[in-house]
Amino acid sequence: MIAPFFTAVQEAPLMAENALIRLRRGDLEALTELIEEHQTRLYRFLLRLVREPATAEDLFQQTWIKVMEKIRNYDPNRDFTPWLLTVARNLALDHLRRYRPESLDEPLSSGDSMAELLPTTGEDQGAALLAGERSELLVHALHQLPVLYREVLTLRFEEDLKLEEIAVLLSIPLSTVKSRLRRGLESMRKLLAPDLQVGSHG
Amino acid sequence: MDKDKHNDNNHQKIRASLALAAVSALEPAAQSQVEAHLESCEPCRKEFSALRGLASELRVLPPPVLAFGLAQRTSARVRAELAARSERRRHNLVLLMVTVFAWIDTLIILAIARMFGNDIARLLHVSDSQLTFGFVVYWLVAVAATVALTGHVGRVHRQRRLV
Repeated sequence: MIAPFFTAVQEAPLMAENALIRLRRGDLEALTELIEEHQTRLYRFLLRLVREPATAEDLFQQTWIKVMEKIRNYDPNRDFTPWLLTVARNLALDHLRRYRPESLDEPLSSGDSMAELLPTTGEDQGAALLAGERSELLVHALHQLPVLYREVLTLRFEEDLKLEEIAVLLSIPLSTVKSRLRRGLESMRKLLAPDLQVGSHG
Repeated sequence: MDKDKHNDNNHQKIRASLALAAVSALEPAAQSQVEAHLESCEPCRKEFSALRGLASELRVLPPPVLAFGLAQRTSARVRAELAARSERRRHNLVLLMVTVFAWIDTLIILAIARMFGNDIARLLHVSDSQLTFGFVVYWLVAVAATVALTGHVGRVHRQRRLV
């Protein structure tokens, strides 16, 4: 009863590894397998960076073309996902530099608030609100942040990467990752509830 | 007075690390310090709770809806791109071979002309200057053919890129 489960668990990474090895040999069937396996994470990451579905889809396709170009340089002993996200990130940042350079260092517009858009979590209203609406507003708030904060938040919470892995992926020190994570969370918190400013102690 | 100031400084310091504490990204000692402060500070406790809730919500955000057939379209585009690159490489190789052949041909003709020019002129009943003119015309035609071929290959590449 349990044996098939363990077999499946043991074979899962093996299959992914095989697909990578086959891809390195030029087997394009393996490419389709890898795309299907990573499409949700990769598309979500790109969408968070560029915020436009059509652009994210184009960059998604360009990422796989780049993967094919660089696959021989990829070290199969390393985890594939961070490597893939690094390739995607470089393309996304190039795109933003070329077409929307202002978005790379956009400040949070002062006074802008999502509070009026967001459902409050009061007892009487909270129960009536759909989880989907809340999610949409959270994504909307996330998209208001500068790209440097967005990418750290999505890598940490949506892609579930460790802070150390994020530091390697972004080629920045761990302290910078923490600093961006903190600022990103605080900015989102302010966007979502600007009135909740806590005063001094006591 | 000093104690109040110290408490306020400590509060501000803790407050600046609440976000990282809420996602357990602080060093253990700093994390314990924050937790101890939360015991006695209601505003910080509320903010901590809100930040922790925000992090939890971000963790369970539903993934965006993928466009239908994205993987298949991507696979097809990658294949098309690889095929186009392979063809470009083949074109460039052919062009290189033509150019090298044209130069070798020119050098051989030049060597033959220098060594056997007089014999050839006698055989063909033409003067030396006519023979030289003939060689120059031959060389110009070869250069023009190479340039035309290069232009044609370049046009084909550009058209494919636009498509």
